[in-house]
Amino acid sequence: MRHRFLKENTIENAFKAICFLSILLPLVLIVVLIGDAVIDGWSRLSLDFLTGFPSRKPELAGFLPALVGSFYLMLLTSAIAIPLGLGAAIYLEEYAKPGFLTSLIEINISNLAGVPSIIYGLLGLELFVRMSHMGRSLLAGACTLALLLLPMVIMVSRESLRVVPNSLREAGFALGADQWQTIWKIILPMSIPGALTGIILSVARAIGETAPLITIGALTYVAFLPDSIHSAFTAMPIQIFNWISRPQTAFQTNAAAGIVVLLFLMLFFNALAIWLRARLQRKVYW
Amino acid sequence: MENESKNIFQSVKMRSENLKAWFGTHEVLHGITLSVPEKYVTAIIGPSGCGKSTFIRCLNRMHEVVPATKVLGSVYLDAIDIYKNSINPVNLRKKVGMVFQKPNPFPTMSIRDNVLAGLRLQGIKPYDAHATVEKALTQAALWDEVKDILNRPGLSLSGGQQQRLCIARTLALEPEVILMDEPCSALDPIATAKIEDLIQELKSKYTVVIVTHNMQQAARVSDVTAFFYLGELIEFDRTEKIFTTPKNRKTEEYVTGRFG
Amino acid sequence: MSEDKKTRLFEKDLDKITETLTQMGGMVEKAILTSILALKNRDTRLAKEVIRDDAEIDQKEIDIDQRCIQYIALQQPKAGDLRFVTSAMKINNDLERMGDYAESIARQALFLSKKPAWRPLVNIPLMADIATSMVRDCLNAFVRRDTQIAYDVIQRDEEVDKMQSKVYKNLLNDMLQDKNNIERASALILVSSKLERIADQSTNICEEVIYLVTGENVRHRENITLEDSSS
Repeated sequence: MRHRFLKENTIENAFKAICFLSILLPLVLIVVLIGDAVIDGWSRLSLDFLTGFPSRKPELAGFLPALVGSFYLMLLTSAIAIPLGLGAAIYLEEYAKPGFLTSLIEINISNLAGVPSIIYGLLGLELFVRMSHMGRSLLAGACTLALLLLPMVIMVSRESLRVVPNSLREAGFALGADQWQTIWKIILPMSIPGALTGIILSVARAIGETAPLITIGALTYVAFLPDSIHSAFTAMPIQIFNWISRPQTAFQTNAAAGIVVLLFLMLFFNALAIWLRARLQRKVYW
Repeated sequence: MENESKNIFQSVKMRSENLKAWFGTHEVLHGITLSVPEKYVTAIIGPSGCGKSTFIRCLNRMHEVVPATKVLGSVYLDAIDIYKNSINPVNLRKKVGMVFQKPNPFPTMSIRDNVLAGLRLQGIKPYDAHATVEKALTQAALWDEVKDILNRPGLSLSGGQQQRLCIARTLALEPEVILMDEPCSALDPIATAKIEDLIQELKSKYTVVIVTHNMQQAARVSDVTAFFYLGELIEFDRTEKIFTTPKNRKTEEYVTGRFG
Repeated sequence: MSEDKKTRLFEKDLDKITETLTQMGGMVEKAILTSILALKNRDTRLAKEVIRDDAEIDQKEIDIDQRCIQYIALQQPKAGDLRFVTSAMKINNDLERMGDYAESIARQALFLSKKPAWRPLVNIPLMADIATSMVRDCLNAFVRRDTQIAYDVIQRDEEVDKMQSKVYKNLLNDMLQDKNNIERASALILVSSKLERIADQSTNICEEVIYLVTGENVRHRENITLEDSSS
């Protein structure tokens, strides 16, 4: 009896150890990678770097257009992806009747989330840059990235809508509200906190998307700031990519500095998501 | 005693005629004809799956909110068939309110906002919001307990209070009929007793229909009782008759606990 | 689905009440018969037996009362079960009263056995037979839930009433004829009136049975007939 007990304990402990290792390992790796970038790029990080324009001389090359480009890009992408994604999620969750067409749409959305980002780049190139005559503009970039993000935004929004208990929808109907009033005044306010977190995380991920932007033709050497949604642009990943491909080691330092900035911004967005969720959830009791 | 029977059925508030209902292809109500007397408490009892919840949801057209459902037959509110094409179910539900089994106050709203939710959902601004809130909460026997904490979230109340809050929310719309689907199932005996007392008060102004699986509650609370079994209405009579001398053998068996 | 109902646990409690009432009925029947026998045979031993055994009947009444109250508290019976339990409590009281009447008769038998033998009892044993048959039948009606038997018993009460009148008149005559007869005549009048009351109680029990089965309350009605009840 005691032997069996011991044996079960050993298995239990072994399992716990494995789980712990599986967290430890990636964490260690991440720390090492970030640490490496920080060490490399630290020397280059300065206000000049952040406010300067690119140059052929690495010590003068700045990050500003990339920073600003990424910023505008994120803003525009969110403005397109979020309403579309939320709208689609609301349609699928609240209005769509179960059936062949609905299942078809649902399967396709899940699949689209896994499509490689370069495919989106190619789609964006043909559809937005060429066919819609947007050219290699911020708008085209934003539309492409929005498409990329859309499946995830839809899925996250649907989850957050699903979490709202059906009893509240029933309560709304029983009070003589129609479907739209119930969604707008009851369901959405309750699901926004959950959806927001997922959406912010998706958008944060998009900051680092390189392939689609390259494909649709984001510039790599930009000496100006974009002045409208139709202007050419660059973005942080592009700039970093460009610097890494240069032979001079000094540019590698720049790239490392750029990576640090990029990582910092991603961390910032994650923190923002968590803070927002905590704040909004205080109002919502389950 | 005979005179009382004539009085109860004199004024009919809602009436179903050969009402049938389906979930998909499964027929759950096989033609129910039942008259709900005005300003009395009608209880609907029966074993699980007998169709009593479905029936009550047909009275305010909530049954059709679930996809793949069908309803045939008529339901009259006063003299109007609520299933006529010209009737908007949304408007109907303002006159025929519903309270559910599990109290469901809106989590994002305060007590005050919960009471006004019914009005606000439809974009109605009450003339005197405070008076509306006070009146509804008083009618729901909750005012004294919450009058100083109206800004607290609705969910901060106990289960029994939450249910009375939901009742107040329904009353704020000034319905004519109040439907209750097992309103005390999730509550402890003391909270249940308070709601049962409340129901007795409500019937002076509203017609109440209550579905319950608790026979003792039906016996305590109602004036007339309908016994449903397997989607049919087996017997419908004054409550004291159903529980002392039921006419139908199935009713007798159910009421004495020999099945269900 | 075949309604082969499994008996619920509480049905055993109901059966126990019926069983105990039936036992009590048997005891009451025996008491009546024994008391009349004691009267006929001037048997003091038998008379004392009846008087002593009445305590058992009283105990049964308490037992049944207890069972019924407990059943109501714990099971909250409705409809048929409720009518059964309330009827059982009333029948219980009726039977206990009958036991007391039998004891009364036994006391008179004791009294008379100490006096010199007198006139034959004539109708009194006959009354006793009818009364005991009514007791037996009304309990039968209860156990079988048979309203037909109940109605028949109720009809027989009239006969007992008539016989009681006759006995009373005869004994009154005896008393008027000779002062010395008064004591013994009074004793016999008492006996006959107790027998008449036993018959009355039987009809009460039958009225309870009719209520139990049909839900119709036929008490205090004149000329109860089968057509009166819906069942």
